[in-house]
Amino acid sequence: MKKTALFNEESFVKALRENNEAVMSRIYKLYFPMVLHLVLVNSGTEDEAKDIYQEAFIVLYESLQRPDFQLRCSIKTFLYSVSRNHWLKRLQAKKIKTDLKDVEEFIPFVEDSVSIENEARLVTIEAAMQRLGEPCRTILEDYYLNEMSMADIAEKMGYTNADNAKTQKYKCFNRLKRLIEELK
Amino acid sequence: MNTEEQLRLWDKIERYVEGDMETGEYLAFEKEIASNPELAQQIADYQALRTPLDLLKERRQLRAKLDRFHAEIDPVEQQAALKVYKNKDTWRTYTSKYLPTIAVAASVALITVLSTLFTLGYLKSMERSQQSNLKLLRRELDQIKRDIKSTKDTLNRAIPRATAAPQRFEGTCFAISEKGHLITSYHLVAKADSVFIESTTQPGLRYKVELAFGDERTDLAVLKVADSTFHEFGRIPYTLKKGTVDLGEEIFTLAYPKNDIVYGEGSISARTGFEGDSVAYQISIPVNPGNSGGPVFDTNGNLIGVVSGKLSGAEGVAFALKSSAIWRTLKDSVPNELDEMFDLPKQSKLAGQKRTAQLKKIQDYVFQVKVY
Repeated sequence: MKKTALFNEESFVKALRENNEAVMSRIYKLYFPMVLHLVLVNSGTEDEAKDIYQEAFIVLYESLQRPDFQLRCSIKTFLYSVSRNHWLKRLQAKKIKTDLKDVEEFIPFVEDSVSIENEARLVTIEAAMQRLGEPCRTILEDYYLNEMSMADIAEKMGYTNADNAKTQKYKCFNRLKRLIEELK
Repeated sequence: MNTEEQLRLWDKIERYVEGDMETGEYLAFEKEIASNPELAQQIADYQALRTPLDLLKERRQLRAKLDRFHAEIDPVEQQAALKVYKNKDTWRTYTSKYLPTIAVAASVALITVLSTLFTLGYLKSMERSQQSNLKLLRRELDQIKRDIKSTKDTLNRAIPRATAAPQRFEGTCFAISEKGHLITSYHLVAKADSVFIESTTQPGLRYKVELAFGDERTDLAVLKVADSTFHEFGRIPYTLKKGTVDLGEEIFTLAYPKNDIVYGEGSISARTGFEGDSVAYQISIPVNPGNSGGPVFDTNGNLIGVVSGKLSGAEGVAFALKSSAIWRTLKDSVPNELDEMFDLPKQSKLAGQKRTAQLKKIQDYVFQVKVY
Protein backbone atom coordinates (compact mmCIF):
# COMPACT_ATOMS: atom_id res chain seq x y z
CA MET A 1 0.00 0.00 0.00
CA LYS A 2 2.83 2.34 0.82
CA LYS A 3 4.15 1.92 -2.69
CA THR A 4 0.91 2.76 -4.40
CA ALA A 5 0.29 5.70 -2.14
CA LEU A 6 3.59 7.24 -3.16
CA PHE A 7 2.99 6.47 -6.80
CA ASN A 8 3.04 9.40 -9.15
CA GLU A 9 3.15 8.50 -12.82
CA GLU A 10 4.62 11.72 -14.14
CA SER A 11 7.43 11.90 -11.62
CA PHE A 12 8.18 8.23 -12.23
CA VAL A 13 8.56 8.75 -15.96
CA LYS A 14 10.85 11.69 -15.30
CA ALA A 15 12.94 9.71 -12.83
CA LEU A 16 13.25 6.83 -15.30
CA ARG A 17 14.45 9.23 -17.96
CA GLU A 18 17.01 10.54 -15.52
CA ASN A 19 18.13 7.01 -14.74
CA ASN A 20 17.09 7.20 -11.09
CA GLU A 21 17.96 3.78 -9.75
CA ALA A 22 15.73 3.90 -6.66
CA VAL A 23 12.65 4.68 -8.72
CA MET A 24 13.58 2.12 -11.32
CA SER A 25 13.85 -0.49 -8.61
CA ARG A 26 10.49 0.48 -7.15
CA ILE A 27 8.67 0.32 -10.49
CA TYR A 28 10.35 -2.97 -11.26
CA LYS A 29 9.10 -4.55 -8.05
CA LEU A 30 5.68 -2.93 -8.32
CA TYR A 31 4.64 -4.55 -11.60
CA PHE A 32 6.50 -7.83 -11.62
CA PRO A 33 3.60 -9.72 -9.94
CA MET A 34 1.30 -8.56 -12.75
CA VAL A 35 3.51 -10.08 -15.44
CA LEU A 36 4.24 -13.11 -13.29
CA HIS A 37 0.51 -13.71 -13.07
CA LEU A 38 0.08 -13.26 -16.83
CA VAL A 39 2.79 -15.81 -17.62
CA LEU A 40 1.68 -18.28 -14.94
CA VAL A 41 -1.94 -18.38 -16.15
CA ASN A 42 -0.70 -18.77 -19.72
CA SER A 43 1.36 -21.93 -19.24
CA GLY A 44 4.66 -20.31 -18.32
CA THR A 45 7.11 -20.56 -15.42
CA GLU A 46 8.39 -18.00 -12.97
CA ASP A 47 11.78 -17.89 -14.73
CA GLU A 48 10.10 -17.22 -18.04
CA ALA A 49 8.06 -14.47 -16.40
CA LYS A 50 11.23 -12.84 -15.10
CA ASP A 51 12.79 -13.01 -18.54
CA ILE A 52 9.75 -11.57 -20.30
CA TYR A 53 9.33 -8.87 -17.69
CA GLN A 54 12.94 -7.78 -17.94
CA GLU A 55 12.68 -7.58 -21.72
CA ALA A 56 9.63 -5.36 -21.35
CA PHE A 57 11.35 -3.27 -18.72
CA ILE A 58 14.34 -2.79 -21.02
CA VAL A 59 12.02 -1.68 -23.83
CA LEU A 60 10.45 0.85 -21.45
CA TYR A 61 13.79 2.09 -20.18
CA GLU A 62 15.46 2.35 -23.56
CA SER A 63 12.42 4.00 -25.12
CA LEU A 64 12.42 6.62 -22.39
CA GLN A 65 16.09 7.36 -23.03
CA ARG A 66 15.17 8.65 -26.48
CA PRO A 67 14.16 12.30 -26.27
CA ASP A 68 11.60 11.96 -29.08
CA PHE A 69 9.77 9.11 -27.34
CA GLN A 70 6.36 9.88 -25.80
CA LEU A 71 4.79 7.46 -23.35
CA ARG A 72 1.13 7.45 -24.35
CA CYS A 73 -0.22 5.22 -21.61
CA SER A 74 0.57 4.40 -18.00
CA ILE A 75 3.83 2.65 -17.14
CA LYS A 76 1.77 -0.29 -15.97
CA THR A 77 -0.13 -0.62 -19.24
CA PHE A 78 3.07 -0.21 -21.23
CA LEU A 79 4.84 -2.95 -19.30
CA TYR A 80 1.85 -5.23 -19.55
CA SER A 81 1.41 -4.65 -23.27
CA VAL A 82 5.05 -5.31 -24.12
CA SER A 83 5.21 -8.36 -21.85
CA ARG A 84 2.02 -9.69 -23.38
CA ASN A 85 3.45 -9.23 -26.88
CA HIS A 86 6.72 -10.93 -26.03
CA TRP A 87 5.00 -13.80 -24.28
CA LEU A 88 2.66 -14.29 -27.22
CA LYS A 89 5.69 -14.54 -29.53
CA ARG A 90 7.32 -17.11 -27.28
CA LEU A 91 4.18 -19.17 -27.12
CA GLN A 92 3.97 -19.11 -30.90
CA ALA A 93 7.62 -20.14 -31.13
CA LYS A 94 6.89 -23.03 -28.75
CA LYS A 95 3.87 -23.93 -30.91
CA ILE A 96 1.55 -23.67 -27.94
CA LYS A 97 -2.02 -22.59 -28.65
CA THR A 98 -1.98 -18.83 -28.68
CA ASP A 99 -5.30 -18.09 -27.09
CA LEU A 100 -3.83 -15.74 -24.51
CA LYS A 101 -5.80 -15.18 -21.34
CA ASP A 102 -5.53 -11.53 -20.40
CA VAL A 103 -5.34 -10.29 -16.83
CA GLU A 104 -5.09 -6.57 -17.50
CA GLU A 105 -6.03 -3.83 -19.90
CA PHE A 106 -3.51 -3.48 -22.71
CA ILE A 107 -2.80 -1.41 -25.76
CA PRO A 108 -1.98 -2.98 -29.11
CA PHE A 109 1.76 -2.68 -28.97
CA VAL A 110 3.87 -2.23 -32.06
CA GLU A 111 7.57 -1.87 -31.45
CA ASP A 112 9.11 1.03 -33.32
CA SER A 113 11.74 0.76 -36.04
CA VAL A 114 14.60 1.98 -33.84
CA SER A 115 14.19 -0.79 -31.30
CA ILE A 116 13.64 -3.42 -33.99
CA GLU A 117 16.87 -2.35 -35.70
CA ASN A 118 18.77 -2.33 -32.41
CA GLU A 119 17.36 -5.72 -31.52
CA ALA A 120 18.60 -7.18 -34.83
CA ARG A 121 22.07 -5.70 -34.27
CA LEU A 122 22.23 -7.19 -30.80
CA VAL A 123 21.17 -10.65 -31.93
CA THR A 124 23.84 -10.63 -34.67
CA ILE A 125 26.67 -9.42 -32.47
CA GLU A 126 25.85 -11.83 -29.67
CA ALA A 127 25.84 -14.72 -32.13
CA ALA A 128 29.15 -13.53 -33.56
CA MET A 129 30.68 -13.25 -30.08
CA GLN A 130 29.59 -16.80 -29.35
CA ARG A 131 31.41 -18.08 -32.44
CA LEU A 132 34.53 -16.02 -31.86
CA GLY A 133 36.38 -18.51 -29.68
CA GLU A 134 39.09 -17.85 -27.10
CA PRO A 135 41.08 -15.76 -26.31
CA CYS A 136 39.36 -13.28 -28.61
CA ARG A 137 35.97 -13.42 -26.92
CA THR A 138 37.40 -12.71 -23.49
CA ILE A 139 39.59 -9.88 -24.71
CA LEU A 140 36.75 -8.16 -26.59
CA GLU A 141 34.25 -8.69 -23.78
CA ASP A 142 36.64 -7.42 -21.15
CA TYR A 143 37.49 -4.33 -23.13
CA TYR A 144 34.22 -3.41 -24.82
CA LEU A 145 31.64 -4.79 -22.40
CA ASN A 146 33.36 -4.88 -19.04
CA GLU A 147 35.33 -1.64 -19.45
CA MET A 148 38.68 -3.14 -18.39
CA SER A 149 41.91 -1.29 -19.25
CA MET A 150 44.37 -2.78 -21.75
CA ALA A 151 46.98 -3.08 -19.00
CA ASP A 152 44.65 -5.18 -16.87
CA ILE A 153 43.70 -7.33 -19.85
CA ALA A 154 47.39 -7.89 -20.71
CA GLU A 155 48.03 -8.98 -17.15
CA LYS A 156 44.96 -11.19 -17.00
CA MET A 157 45.68 -12.89 -20.33
CA GLY A 158 49.46 -13.18 -19.83
CA TYR A 159 50.70 -10.76 -22.45
CA THR A 160 54.06 -9.15 -21.81
CA ASN A 161 52.71 -5.64 -22.31
CA ALA A 162 49.63 -3.61 -23.22
CA ASP A 163 50.81 -3.08 -26.79
CA ASN A 164 50.90 -6.80 -27.47
CA ALA A 165 47.40 -7.08 -26.05
CA LYS A 166 46.32 -4.18 -28.25
CA THR A 167 47.62 -5.96 -31.36
CA GLN A 168 45.67 -9.03 -30.32
CA LYS A 169 42.54 -6.95 -29.73
CA TYR A 170 42.90 -5.45 -33.23
CA LYS A 171 43.06 -8.91 -34.78
CA CYS A 172 40.06 -10.05 -32.77
CA PHE A 173 38.08 -6.96 -33.76
CA ASN A 174 38.69 -7.76 -37.44
CA ARG A 175 37.67 -11.37 -36.91
CA LEU A 176 34.45 -10.28 -35.29
CA LYS A 177 33.81 -8.01 -38.25
CA ARG A 178 34.27 -10.88 -40.70
CA LEU A 179 32.01 -13.15 -38.61
CA ILE A 180 29.23 -10.56 -38.62
CA GLU A 181 29.49 -10.19 -42.37
CA GLU A 182 29.17 -13.98 -42.68
CA LEU A 183 26.11 -13.96 -40.45
CA LYS A 184 24.33 -11.24 -42.40
CA MET B 1 50.24 0.01 -45.65
CA ASN B 2 51.73 -2.79 -43.55
CA THR B 3 50.07 -4.42 -40.58
CA GLU B 4 52.02 -2.27 -38.16
CA GLU B 5 50.74 0.91 -39.80
CA GLN B 6 47.23 -0.45 -40.06
CA LEU B 7 47.24 -1.26 -36.35
CA ARG B 8 48.51 2.22 -35.50
CA LEU B 9 45.79 3.85 -37.60
CA TRP B 10 43.08 1.64 -36.13
CA ASP B 11 44.28 2.44 -32.62
CA LYS B 12 44.10 6.13 -33.52
CA ILE B 13 40.56 5.74 -34.77
CA GLU B 14 39.55 3.94 -31.59
CA ARG B 15 41.07 6.64 -29.42
CA TYR B 16 39.34 9.27 -31.58
CA VAL B 17 35.93 7.60 -31.21
CA GLU B 18 36.44 7.01 -27.48
CA GLY B 19 37.41 10.66 -27.01
CA ASP B 20 40.84 9.66 -25.75
CA MET B 21 42.91 12.24 -27.70
CA GLU B 22 44.73 15.41 -26.75
CA THR B 23 43.07 18.55 -28.13
CA GLY B 24 45.88 19.22 -30.63
CA GLU B 25 45.89 15.68 -31.97
CA TYR B 26 42.08 15.66 -32.08
CA LEU B 27 41.85 18.84 -34.16
CA ALA B 28 44.57 17.65 -36.55
CA PHE B 29 42.81 14.32 -36.97
CA GLU B 30 39.45 16.02 -37.61
CA LYS B 31 41.11 18.05 -40.36
CA GLU B 32 42.57 14.88 -41.86
CA ILE B 33 39.16 13.13 -41.82
CA ALA B 34 37.57 16.09 -43.59
CA SER B 35 40.12 15.96 -46.40
CA ASN B 36 40.43 12.16 -46.60
CA PRO B 37 37.25 10.26 -47.64
CA GLU B 38 39.04 6.93 -47.29
CA LEU B 39 39.78 7.66 -43.63
CA ALA B 40 36.19 8.77 -43.08
CA GLN B 41 35.03 5.44 -44.49
CA GLN B 42 37.38 3.53 -42.15
CA ILE B 43 35.89 5.40 -39.20
CA ALA B 44 32.39 4.53 -40.37
CA ASP B 45 33.40 0.85 -40.61
CA TYR B 46 34.78 0.97 -37.09
CA GLN B 47 31.54 2.59 -35.84
CA ALA B 48 29.44 -0.09 -37.54
CA LEU B 49 30.90 -2.62 -35.14
CA ARG B 50 31.43 -0.33 -32.18
CA THR B 51 27.77 0.81 -31.99
CA PRO B 52 26.31 -2.67 -31.41
CA LEU B 53 29.12 -3.42 -28.99
CA ASP B 54 28.20 -0.36 -26.94
CA LEU B 55 24.55 -1.32 -27.17
CA LEU B 56 25.39 -4.78 -25.90
CA LYS B 57 27.38 -3.31 -23.03
CA GLU B 58 24.50 -1.07 -21.95
CA ARG B 59 22.04 -3.89 -22.29
CA ARG B 60 24.14 -6.21 -20.12
CA GLN B 61 24.60 -3.54 -17.50
CA LEU B 62 20.88 -2.93 -17.44
CA ARG B 63 20.17 -6.64 -17.17
CA ALA B 64 22.56 -6.90 -14.25
CA LYS B 65 20.74 -4.01 -12.58
CA LEU B 66 17.36 -5.62 -13.12
CA ASP B 67 18.67 -8.91 -11.75
CA ARG B 68 19.74 -7.03 -8.67
CA PHE B 69 16.24 -5.55 -8.29
CA HIS B 70 14.76 -8.96 -8.84
CA ALA B 71 16.87 -10.48 -6.09
CA GLU B 72 15.49 -7.85 -3.72
CA ILE B 73 11.87 -8.90 -4.26
CA ASP B 74 10.35 -10.12 -1.03
CA PRO B 75 8.77 -13.54 -1.76
CA VAL B 76 6.05 -12.97 0.85
CA GLU B 77 5.06 -9.64 -0.70
CA GLN B 78 5.12 -11.20 -4.13
CA GLN B 79 2.79 -13.98 -3.06
CA ALA B 80 0.42 -11.42 -1.55
CA ALA B 81 0.43 -9.36 -4.74
CA LEU B 82 -0.10 -12.46 -6.84
CA LYS B 83 -3.10 -13.37 -4.71
CA VAL B 84 -4.64 -9.98 -5.41
CA TYR B 85 -4.33 -10.65 -9.14
CA LYS B 86 -5.76 -14.13 -8.73
CA ASN B 87 -8.76 -12.81 -6.79
CA LYS B 88 -9.33 -10.16 -9.42
CA ASP B 89 -9.21 -12.92 -11.99
CA THR B 90 -11.72 -15.04 -10.12
CA TRP B 91 -14.14 -12.15 -10.01
CA ARG B 92 -13.60 -11.52 -13.72
CA THR B 93 -14.23 -15.17 -14.54
CA TYR B 94 -17.29 -15.15 -12.35
CA THR B 95 -18.78 -12.09 -14.01
CA SER B 96 -17.92 -13.21 -17.54
CA LYS B 97 -19.44 -16.61 -16.79
CA TYR B 98 -22.59 -15.54 -14.97
CA LEU B 99 -23.17 -11.99 -16.11
CA PRO B 100 -25.04 -12.99 -19.30
CA THR B 101 -27.37 -15.17 -17.24
CA ILE B 102 -27.90 -12.45 -14.67
CA ALA B 103 -28.52 -9.94 -17.44
CA VAL B 104 -31.11 -12.14 -19.11
CA ALA B 105 -32.88 -12.79 -15.81
CA ALA B 106 -32.86 -9.09 -15.00
CA SER B 107 -34.24 -8.09 -18.39
CA VAL B 108 -37.03 -10.64 -18.12
CA ALA B 109 -37.95 -9.25 -14.72
CA LEU B 110 -37.78 -5.70 -16.01
CA ILE B 111 -39.93 -6.46 -19.06
CA THR B 112 -42.51 -8.19 -16.85
CA VAL B 113 -42.72 -5.29 -14.45
CA LEU B 114 -42.85 -2.67 -17.18
CA SER B 115 -45.51 -4.45 -19.21
CA THR B 116 -47.62 -4.90 -16.09
CA LEU B 117 -47.30 -1.25 -15.21
CA PHE B 118 -48.12 -0.32 -18.76
CA THR B 119 -51.21 -2.48 -18.77
CA LEU B 120 -52.43 -0.89 -15.61
CA GLY B 121 -52.07 2.50 -17.17
CA TYR B 122 -49.68 3.40 -14.44
CA LEU B 123 -47.15 4.88 -16.79
CA LYS B 124 -49.76 7.05 -18.36
CA SER B 125 -50.93 8.49 -15.07
CA MET B 126 -47.35 9.02 -14.03
CA GLU B 127 -46.71 10.94 -17.21
CA ARG B 128 -49.70 13.09 -16.56
CA SER B 129 -48.70 13.92 -13.02
CA GLN B 130 -45.20 14.76 -14.15
CA GLN B 131 -46.33 17.35 -16.61
CA SER B 132 -45.05 19.90 -14.22
CA ASN B 133 -48.03 22.07 -13.75
CA LEU B 134 -47.38 25.53 -12.59
CA LYS B 135 -49.60 25.83 -9.65
CA LEU B 136 -50.58 29.34 -8.99
CA LEU B 137 -50.33 30.17 -5.40
CA ARG B 138 -53.60 31.71 -4.61
CA ARG B 139 -55.23 30.48 -1.55
CA GLU B 140 -58.65 29.40 -2.54
CA LEU B 141 -60.92 29.74 0.37
CA ASP B 142 -63.59 27.35 1.33
CA GLN B 143 -66.29 29.69 0.21
CA ILE B 144 -65.42 29.32 -3.44
CA LYS B 145 -65.89 25.62 -3.19
CA ARG B 146 -69.44 26.00 -2.09
CA ASP B 147 -72.19 26.10 -4.53
CA ILE B 148 -72.22 29.73 -5.52
CA LYS B 149 -75.77 29.59 -6.76
CA SER B 150 -77.15 28.36 -3.44
CA THR B 151 -75.07 30.94 -1.58
CA LYS B 152 -76.49 33.68 -3.73
CA ASP B 153 -79.97 32.35 -3.21
CA THR B 154 -79.49 32.28 0.54
CA LEU B 155 -78.08 35.79 0.59
CA ASN B 156 -80.82 37.10 -1.63
CA ARG B 157 -83.40 35.63 0.60
CA ALA B 158 -81.85 36.60 3.93
CA ILE B 159 -80.40 40.04 3.28
CA PRO B 160 -81.50 41.52 0.02
CA ARG B 161 -78.61 43.40 -1.76
CA ALA B 162 -75.99 41.85 0.52
CA THR B 163 -73.15 43.97 1.87
CA ALA B 164 -70.15 41.93 0.74
CA ALA B 165 -69.46 39.36 -1.90
CA PRO B 166 -67.62 36.27 -0.66
CA GLN B 167 -63.85 36.63 -0.36
CA ARG B 168 -62.21 34.66 -3.14
CA PHE B 169 -58.61 34.37 -2.20
CA GLU B 170 -55.60 35.94 -0.60
CA GLY B 171 -52.08 36.78 -1.51
CA THR B 172 -49.26 39.18 -0.72
CA CYS B 173 -48.27 42.56 -2.06
CA PHE B 174 -45.64 45.16 -1.21
CA ALA B 175 -45.22 48.87 -1.56
CA ILE B 176 -43.08 50.45 -4.25
CA SER B 177 -43.99 54.07 -3.74
CA GLU B 178 -44.79 56.31 -0.82
CA LYS B 179 -47.90 57.47 -2.61
CA GLY B 180 -49.51 54.06 -2.46
CA HIS B 181 -48.35 51.92 -5.36
CA LEU B 182 -47.92 48.25 -4.69
CA ILE B 183 -46.79 45.23 -6.65
CA THR B 184 -48.46 41.85 -6.61
CA SER B 185 -49.22 38.91 -8.90
CA TYR B 186 -51.66 39.56 -11.70
CA HIS B 187 -53.40 36.21 -11.31
CA LEU B 188 -54.52 37.21 -7.82
CA VAL B 189 -56.38 40.32 -8.85
CA ALA B 190 -57.29 39.57 -12.46
CA LYS B 191 -60.98 39.06 -12.10
CA ALA B 192 -61.50 40.80 -8.82
CA ASP B 193 -64.62 42.71 -7.89
CA SER B 194 -62.77 44.55 -5.21
CA VAL B 195 -59.35 44.29 -3.60
CA PHE B 196 -58.24 45.28 -0.12
CA ILE B 197 -54.83 45.26 1.52
CA GLU B 198 -54.36 44.54 5.19
CA SER B 199 -51.43 44.42 7.53
CA THR B 200 -50.97 42.48 10.72
CA THR B 201 -47.95 44.52 11.73
CA GLN B 202 -49.98 47.71 11.71
CA PRO B 203 -53.24 46.62 13.33
CA GLY B 204 -56.36 48.07 11.79
CA LEU B 205 -54.66 49.02 8.55
CA ARG B 206 -57.06 48.18 5.74
CA TYR B 207 -57.19 50.03 2.44
CA LYS B 208 -59.19 49.54 -0.66
CA VAL B 209 -56.93 49.33 -3.70
CA GLU B 210 -57.45 49.46 -7.47
CA LEU B 211 -55.67 47.74 -10.24
CA ALA B 212 -53.40 50.32 -11.88
CA PHE B 213 -51.63 47.97 -14.25
CA GLY B 214 -51.84 44.28 -15.07
CA ASP B 215 -49.83 42.05 -17.36
CA GLU B 216 -50.88 38.47 -17.77
CA ARG B 217 -47.70 37.38 -19.56
CA THR B 218 -45.33 38.26 -16.73
CA ASP B 219 -48.05 37.83 -14.09
CA LEU B 220 -47.35 41.30 -12.79
CA ALA B 221 -49.84 43.76 -11.36
CA VAL B 222 -49.51 47.22 -9.86
CA LEU B 223 -52.10 48.26 -7.34
CA LYS B 224 -52.86 51.78 -6.22
CA VAL B 225 -54.43 52.59 -2.89
CA ALA B 226 -57.81 54.19 -3.50
CA ASP B 227 -58.97 55.15 -0.05
CA SER B 228 -59.82 58.56 1.37
CA THR B 229 -58.20 57.72 4.71
CA PHE B 230 -54.81 57.01 3.10
CA HIS B 231 -52.03 59.58 3.22
CA GLU B 232 -48.78 57.82 2.43
CA PHE B 233 -46.73 54.78 3.36
CA GLY B 234 -43.64 56.61 4.51
CA ARG B 235 -40.06 56.18 3.28
CA ILE B 236 -39.59 52.74 1.77
CA PRO B 237 -36.35 51.13 3.03
CA TYR B 238 -35.55 48.76 0.17
CA THR B 239 -34.42 49.46 -3.35
CA LEU B 240 -35.04 47.63 -6.61
CA LYS B 241 -32.07 45.72 -7.91
CA LYS B 242 -31.49 46.52 -11.57
CA GLY B 243 -29.11 43.71 -12.42
CA THR B 244 -29.52 39.99 -11.94
CA VAL B 245 -28.55 37.93 -8.92
CA ASP B 246 -25.94 35.17 -8.95
CA LEU B 247 -26.72 31.53 -8.64
CA GLY B 248 -26.67 30.34 -5.06
CA GLU B 249 -27.08 33.79 -3.57
CA GLU B 250 -28.97 33.88 -0.30
CA ILE B 251 -32.42 35.38 -0.48
CA PHE B 252 -35.42 35.83 1.78
CA THR B 253 -39.07 36.65 1.52
CA LEU B 254 -41.91 37.98 3.60
CA ALA B 255 -45.48 36.98 2.81
CA TYR B 256 -48.95 36.17 4.02
CA PRO B 257 -49.57 32.48 3.41
CA LYS B 258 -51.78 32.67 6.50
CA ASN B 259 -53.31 35.48 8.44
CA ASP B 260 -49.96 36.50 9.81
CA ILE B 261 -46.77 37.59 8.11
CA VAL B 262 -44.30 34.73 7.50
CA TYR B 263 -40.58 34.91 6.86
CA GLY B 264 -38.86 32.43 4.53
CA GLU B 265 -35.30 32.09 3.40
CA GLY B 266 -33.44 30.17 0.71
CA SER B 267 -31.34 30.77 -2.35
CA ILE B 268 -31.38 31.34 -6.08
CA SER B 269 -31.32 27.83 -7.54
CA ALA B 270 -31.52 28.70 -11.24
CA ARG B 271 -31.25 31.78 -13.40
CA THR B 272 -34.35 30.76 -15.33
CA GLY B 273 -37.85 30.00 -14.22
CA PHE B 274 -40.58 27.60 -15.27
CA GLU B 275 -39.59 25.81 -18.50
CA GLY B 276 -36.53 27.99 -18.98
CA ASP B 277 -38.42 31.26 -18.66
CA SER B 278 -35.67 33.88 -18.69
CA VAL B 279 -37.64 36.60 -16.92
CA ALA B 280 -37.83 34.54 -13.74
CA TYR B 281 -35.54 32.87 -11.23
CA GLN B 282 -36.00 29.45 -9.78
CA ILE B 283 -35.79 29.85 -6.04
CA SER B 284 -35.57 27.39 -3.22
CA ILE B 285 -37.77 28.95 -0.61
CA PRO B 286 -40.63 27.13 1.01
CA VAL B 287 -43.63 28.86 -0.48
CA ASN B 288 -47.26 28.15 0.09
CA PRO B 289 -50.48 29.37 -1.36
CA GLY B 290 -50.65 32.98 -0.31
CA ASN B 291 -47.00 33.66 -1.07
CA SER B 292 -47.91 34.83 -4.54
CA GLY B 293 -47.02 38.46 -5.03
CA GLY B 294 -44.58 38.42 -2.14
CA PRO B 295 -41.28 40.29 -2.41
CA VAL B 296 -37.92 38.50 -2.64
CA PHE B 297 -34.87 40.26 -1.21
CA ASP B 298 -31.15 39.62 -1.30
CA THR B 299 -29.06 39.80 1.88
CA ASN B 300 -28.58 43.55 1.50
CA GLY B 301 -32.30 44.11 1.37
CA ASN B 302 -32.43 44.82 -2.35
CA LEU B 303 -35.70 43.79 -3.94
CA ILE B 304 -34.76 41.16 -6.49
CA GLY B 305 -38.10 39.67 -7.52
CA VAL B 306 -41.70 38.78 -6.92
CA VAL B 307 -42.85 35.27 -6.03
CA SER B 308 -45.00 34.07 -8.90
CA GLY B 309 -45.67 30.40 -8.31
CA LYS B 310 -44.34 27.01 -7.53
CA LEU B 311 -44.06 23.69 -9.24
CA SER B 312 -46.69 21.29 -8.07
CA GLY B 313 -45.40 17.86 -7.17
CA ALA B 314 -41.87 19.11 -6.56
CA GLU B 315 -40.63 20.40 -3.24
CA GLY B 316 -38.54 23.52 -3.00
CA VAL B 317 -39.07 24.56 -6.60
CA ALA B 318 -40.63 28.02 -6.74
CA PHE B 319 -40.33 30.89 -9.15
CA ALA B 320 -39.89 34.60 -8.84
CA LEU B 321 -40.23 37.24 -11.51
CA LYS B 322 -36.90 39.06 -11.81
CA SER B 323 -36.69 42.68 -10.66
CA SER B 324 -35.19 43.55 -14.03
CA ALA B 325 -38.29 42.10 -15.72
CA ILE B 326 -40.55 44.12 -13.42
CA TRP B 327 -38.70 47.24 -14.33
CA ARG B 328 -38.70 46.47 -18.06
CA THR B 329 -42.38 45.49 -18.16
CA LEU B 330 -43.46 48.65 -16.45
CA LYS B 331 -41.15 50.84 -18.51
CA ASP B 332 -42.58 49.40 -21.71
CA SER B 333 -46.18 49.60 -20.57
CA VAL B 334 -46.51 52.75 -18.49
CA PRO B 335 -43.51 54.96 -19.31
CA ASN B 336 -45.15 58.19 -18.21
CA GLU B 337 -46.28 57.08 -14.80
CA LEU B 338 -43.17 55.08 -14.00
CA ASP B 339 -41.50 57.71 -11.84
CA GLU B 340 -44.62 58.15 -9.84
CA MET B 341 -45.07 54.41 -9.42
CA PHE B 342 -41.48 53.83 -8.38
CA ASP B 343 -40.05 56.10 -5.81
CA LEU B 344 -37.83 53.59 -4.14
CA PRO B 345 -34.57 54.87 -2.66
CA LYS B 346 -31.42 54.72 -4.80
CA GLN B 347 -29.58 52.98 -1.99
CA SER B 348 -30.99 50.23 0.17
CA LYS B 349 -31.14 51.31 3.80
CA LEU B 350 -30.92 47.72 4.90
CA ALA B 351 -27.41 46.80 3.73
CA GLY B 352 -25.19 45.31 6.41
CA GLN B 353 -27.96 45.06 8.99
CA LYS B 354 -29.00 42.02 10.92
CA ARG B 355 -31.82 40.06 9.35
CA THR B 356 -34.18 40.74 12.25
CA ALA B 357 -33.56 44.46 11.94
CA GLN B 358 -34.12 44.28 8.19
CA LEU B 359 -37.39 42.45 8.68
CA LYS B 360 -38.63 44.98 11.22
CA LYS B 361 -38.18 47.71 8.63
CA ILE B 362 -39.59 45.76 5.70
CA GLN B 363 -42.63 44.24 7.35
CA ASP B 364 -44.62 47.47 7.34
CA TYR B 365 -44.44 47.61 3.57
CA VAL B 366 -45.66 44.08 2.93
CA PHE B 367 -49.42 43.56 2.97
CA GLN B 368 -52.00 40.88 2.72
CA VAL B 369 -54.15 41.11 -0.39
CA LYS B 370 -57.78 40.20 0.03
CA VAL B 371 -59.67 39.66 -3.14
CA TYR B 372 -63.45 39.67 -3.41
